[in-house]
Amino acid sequence: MIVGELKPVEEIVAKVKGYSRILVVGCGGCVTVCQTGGAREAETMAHLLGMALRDLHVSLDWTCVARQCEFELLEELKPRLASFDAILSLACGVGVQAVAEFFPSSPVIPGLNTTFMGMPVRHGRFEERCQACGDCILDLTAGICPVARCSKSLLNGPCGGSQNGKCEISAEVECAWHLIYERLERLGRLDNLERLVLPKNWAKSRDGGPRRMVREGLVPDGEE
Amino acid sequence: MRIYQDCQVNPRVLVWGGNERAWRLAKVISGQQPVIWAFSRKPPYPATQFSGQTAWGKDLAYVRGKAGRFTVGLHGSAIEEIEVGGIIIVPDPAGPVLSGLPPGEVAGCSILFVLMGVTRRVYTQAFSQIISLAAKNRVWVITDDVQVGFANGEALYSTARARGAVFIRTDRVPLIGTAAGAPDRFEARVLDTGIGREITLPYDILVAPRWEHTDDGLRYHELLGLGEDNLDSYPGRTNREGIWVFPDPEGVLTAAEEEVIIAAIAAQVARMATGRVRAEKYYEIDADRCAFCLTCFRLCPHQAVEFHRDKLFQNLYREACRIDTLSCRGCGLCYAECPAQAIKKVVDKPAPTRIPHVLACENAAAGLIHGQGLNYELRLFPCAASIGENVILRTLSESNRDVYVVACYQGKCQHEHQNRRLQVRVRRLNTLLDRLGITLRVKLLGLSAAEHPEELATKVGERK
Repeated sequence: MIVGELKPVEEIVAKVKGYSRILVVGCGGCVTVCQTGGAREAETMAHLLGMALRDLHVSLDWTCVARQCEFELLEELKPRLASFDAILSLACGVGVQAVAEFFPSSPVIPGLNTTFMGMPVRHGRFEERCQACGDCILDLTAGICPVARCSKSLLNGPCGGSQNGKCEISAEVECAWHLIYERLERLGRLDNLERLVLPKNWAKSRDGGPRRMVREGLVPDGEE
Repeated sequence: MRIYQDCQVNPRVLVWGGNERAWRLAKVISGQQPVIWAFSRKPPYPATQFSGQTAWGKDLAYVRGKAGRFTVGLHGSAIEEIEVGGIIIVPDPAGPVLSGLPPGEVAGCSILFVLMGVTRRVYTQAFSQIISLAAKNRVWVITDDVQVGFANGEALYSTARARGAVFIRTDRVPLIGTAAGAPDRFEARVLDTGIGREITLPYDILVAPRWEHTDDGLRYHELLGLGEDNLDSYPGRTNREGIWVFPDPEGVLTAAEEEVIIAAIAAQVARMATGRVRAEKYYEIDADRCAFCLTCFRLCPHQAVEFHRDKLFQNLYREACRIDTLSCRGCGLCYAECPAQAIKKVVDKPAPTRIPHVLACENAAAGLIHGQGLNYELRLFPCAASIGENVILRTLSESNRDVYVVACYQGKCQHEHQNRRLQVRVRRLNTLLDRLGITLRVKLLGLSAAEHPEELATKVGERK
């Protein structure tokens, strides 16, 4: 899922200053699951802003849609928008942009910083697992992604900075290649490491510019 | 108003343990409802006096389901599944026992007992030894805490002191070795906190506890999803409904006291004997709003939440979490923490007519409910767990004054340390308020039901 974290509250207050009627919109998708932008957080943010902007007589309300990254699901906001002059979106960058696209004349302010694609390793703690490089090699690396989890994104590792299973950048960062080695050893597939992985085609990643995916077989010819 | 649900339950009970307590308990329960008495080895008690089923030579492999409908996997040559409504674990009483005691009668010796960090069970054994040895020897006892909380404990302690045994209290582990320049003489150096300086005690015989490993019940904790405080609660109640662990892990109870515990546990499982149990319903999950984030599933201190797949669900996953009525104790943690606000109270109390500025766990503040003459508005919650960030912020925002939140003292929460959870919520909110330049604050107070309304009034600075 996409993990987002709350922007510093001072920054949010600075961004919404000047608006007098603000609708805080949560998203029921990934950011609800990572506890930073769901219905509960939308209410929290509305109360906090309400108190912080009390002297400016700003009116605030909050709501949450099932997913902000779907135009159809944003439809329910339409009738309410006349009473607000700005939307504070607690969705990821995708949701914020969907809202901006769907409501061309409403200012949209992001409340979260979209951080990474990851998972909860335990309640309240999230770690990055995928960088959407566009060319998955997890079969070679025992199901542990060196692109997302090695600080250098090395395809042939580990490097000399691997110390006791930790990365040289921080004692809290596990060396992905150490993990890969341990898991390959357990699987009896250490021979995978003898295969040199050739340079990756990064054109499938961000280096190739904004990406688009077309699922074949969904759109009749001539309708695209 | 309260809402109750009639729940169907399996009246059969599993008693797990190979000791005499388990045998006696299984016998009592077999008189009232079906029971399976099982353990990893066959215990040496006559099965003729027991009318239920038995299963020996298998180990507990897994436990699925909730109170009233557990499926227990027993691991033998193959996995065998049994269906029961309740599970009672009866661990062997275990703990450290004294080692180094002189084998026969000794006289004229200096005997040093080191009893640091030990339990009542060790003291039950130690006092009788100390008393008999002190008659003809010099006896020192180095201890961090004299434990007398068992039958005749106080009297034995007095007798030991009257016989001349000297108790030295300290919070440091003594240094034990040979005397300087005399390798055949032993001595212990210890900080005597009573006189505030280190003393040296020469000794001939050292007596100290040694841990004896038995089936201590701890190994079942993870398997059964039990919390850390479940070893010694009366009468074996755990954080999970339908699972009991026989208390008194150290084995200090007298036979009569054991009878009381056995009767109390048997009375608890007797609730299920008819196959129906009436349970109060506190919260329910609105499946249409549920994001299936598993927050409630992971956090529930009573493991009352389970997955539920249903094609009727309108949410993204056609799957949602569900609260099991029989297992839920109504602490409201799920209600406060649900990020999708999908959990609703079954019975919502009417909104308070005046804005409260004290939000309190009703267990902590039980003494205050009927408090009179207090100049504040109190709103009660089933537990600190259910005092969520939003209810605090709402109260702050509406009242525009500092809000006090009241939780039980450390270790007194009935729902697995929810006072600690409230503490981190309060810390986060105060940080956010500070960073936003808001002067209002949330103040956390500890309180117990034994305290009077005046105590709270003093704490919130409103004593008249």
